[in-house]
Amino acid sequence: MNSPDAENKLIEAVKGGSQAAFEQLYKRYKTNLFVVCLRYAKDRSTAEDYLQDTFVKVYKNIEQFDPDKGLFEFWARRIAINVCLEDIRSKKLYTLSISRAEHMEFNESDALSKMSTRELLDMIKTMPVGYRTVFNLYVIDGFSHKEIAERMGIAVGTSKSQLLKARKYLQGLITEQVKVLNQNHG
Amino acid sequence: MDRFDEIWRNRFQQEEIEPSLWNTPGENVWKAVEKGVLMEKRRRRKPFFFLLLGALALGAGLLYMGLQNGEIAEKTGLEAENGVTTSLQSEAFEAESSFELTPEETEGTLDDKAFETGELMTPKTSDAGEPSTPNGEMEGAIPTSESTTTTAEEVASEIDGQPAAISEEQTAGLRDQPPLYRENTSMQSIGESLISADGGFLSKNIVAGITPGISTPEKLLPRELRPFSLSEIDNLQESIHQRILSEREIQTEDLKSFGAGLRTGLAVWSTSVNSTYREDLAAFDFDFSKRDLGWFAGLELSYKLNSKLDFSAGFIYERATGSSRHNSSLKYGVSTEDQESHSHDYSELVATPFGFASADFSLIRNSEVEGDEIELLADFESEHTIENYSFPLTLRYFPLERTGNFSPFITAGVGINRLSVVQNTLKKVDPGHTAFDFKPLESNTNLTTELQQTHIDARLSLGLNAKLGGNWSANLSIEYIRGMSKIFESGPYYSRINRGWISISAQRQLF
Repeated sequence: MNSPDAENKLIEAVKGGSQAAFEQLYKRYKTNLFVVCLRYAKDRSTAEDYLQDTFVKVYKNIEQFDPDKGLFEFWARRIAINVCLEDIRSKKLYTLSISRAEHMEFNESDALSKMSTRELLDMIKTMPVGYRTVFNLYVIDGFSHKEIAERMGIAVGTSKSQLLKARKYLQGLITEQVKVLNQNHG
Repeated sequence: MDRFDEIWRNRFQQEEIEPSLWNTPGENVWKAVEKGVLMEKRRRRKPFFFLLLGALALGAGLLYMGLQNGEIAEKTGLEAENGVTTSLQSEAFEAESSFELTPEETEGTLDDKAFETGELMTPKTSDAGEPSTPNGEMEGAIPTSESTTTTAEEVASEIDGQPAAISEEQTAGLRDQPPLYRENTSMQSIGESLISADGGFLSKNIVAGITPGISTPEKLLPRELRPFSLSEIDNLQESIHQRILSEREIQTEDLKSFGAGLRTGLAVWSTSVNSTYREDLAAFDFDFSKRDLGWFAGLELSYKLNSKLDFSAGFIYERATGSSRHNSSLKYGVSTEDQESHSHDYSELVATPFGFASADFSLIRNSEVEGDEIELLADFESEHTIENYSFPLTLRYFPLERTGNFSPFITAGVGINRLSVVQNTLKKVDPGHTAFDFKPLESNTNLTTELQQTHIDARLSLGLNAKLGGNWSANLSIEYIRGMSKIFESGPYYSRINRGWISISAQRQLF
């Protein structure tokens, strides 16, 4: 049941109140949505809380999902991101760094592409909350600075500067890792 | 977007992330999600619950009012009955109570009576305001005891110059009567009334006349004032008793009464699925036509409204077991199968009339097949067990009344039901291909969470009531129960439960 038609049947069954169909849906999307939650959360436990809230919201709002407007996974991802942002905002977790972004040459794209998803995620998690949230929203999830500013309650300029600093932070981490690897091999 | 951003986005957004330990949430997450979903379902069902609660409260209120009215009617009947007894037996009661008096008390009673008599004989303005005749004789009706509430002295003080109606001699004469006389004080009271009407002369004769063994001057009185003889009173009392008893017997047939009993029988469950489930290879494409067989047992309370109508309520437990079939397509990839066991694990939704069951199983390839991907048209057979509690509220009508030992009846009513357990077990999967074998993994699912557990039905039955002797009776009936509310709904599809009962019950009239 991996075809869009089969998925629609599954979603129709969930709309009809089927717990079993919802369990199938959970099994199918738990990994991808958990990774979304892991990107925004400070730790695994928080990510699990986000995932739980995400699926409960999916169930509550499943009637609003229209398959003609897009894939279920994208719709569910949006819900997961909203859950994460809601928590981050409500707890005022993000503290915008005031350190200046230093210009840095980044020539390690090849090294970056060779890294595993888990290594990339670990790097994201080392960033301050403000950097991490803006980076996730803009680079990975495709939000504009205007949307980020509205969602996080910050100025557009702040969003831009946070993104710049997040990029430099990650590039610095990657460069350092490459150096360590070269030294170990050398 | 520069190269740096593109790598990040592709990695997290577009590429398929393989499940691994680090990106798999713990088991507790699904349990928490289930709890959250259950709460959401309860929240959605609240309006229905309150509606049901309101209907139950209304029904209970109406029943209570009905019972109250029944009690009032019963009391009114008894009071009326008692009224007859009281009015007609009061004099006899007076006589009976006077037997218990000691001679001294009797004397006192006689003194009082004498005073009362004097009071009655005192000329005074009647209640209607008409003056009495000057010589103390009353015109019109004889005053009753209720109208003589003032004492002789008070009346005497009000009307100057009027002599006491009964002289000292007369009073003394009354006191001197032998015990035999005192045994007939009921007659005294009647006599006293008469004394009040005729003055001093009649009083002696009348009192003497009602005493056995003494000649009666009844002929001196107009017919309506003649006292009863003892034999007449006895006859009167006897006839009153007879009348009361016969009235009671007649009313016993119509008296409201409560009964309680046990009921049990066989049940046939037929789940009616609306809309078509015959889309090719859809999860809904299943055969639901098999009937489930079961049994039921419970308590039944009844309230007899009249000779033709009973109201009954009960609590019934039901259990049924049956099966359903479901067709679905399964794709088997030879290149992607487990290389050691030559198998694929599946997690499928199994459609049943009671909702979807989640079933995990394996298909094992036992021989070579052509092609890499095989599409199998598999038949799923699942077995389900249902438990249901019902609260029937019915009216039972006896068209021929309950005169003989056997009385036919028709019952109509509603039932409030609660599905408590609906378990579905995947029994087998027929892959429809000789090269594949089925192996069950996990398939026992309680489906109640996705069902509308509370459902309403309408009931109609035909039966026969048999009197067993004493306060016991038995009922044999055939009942059709039609589901009025949906128990499962998914898109255009929904299912209801219809049942057929063959039942026998034994009931005892409690009070």
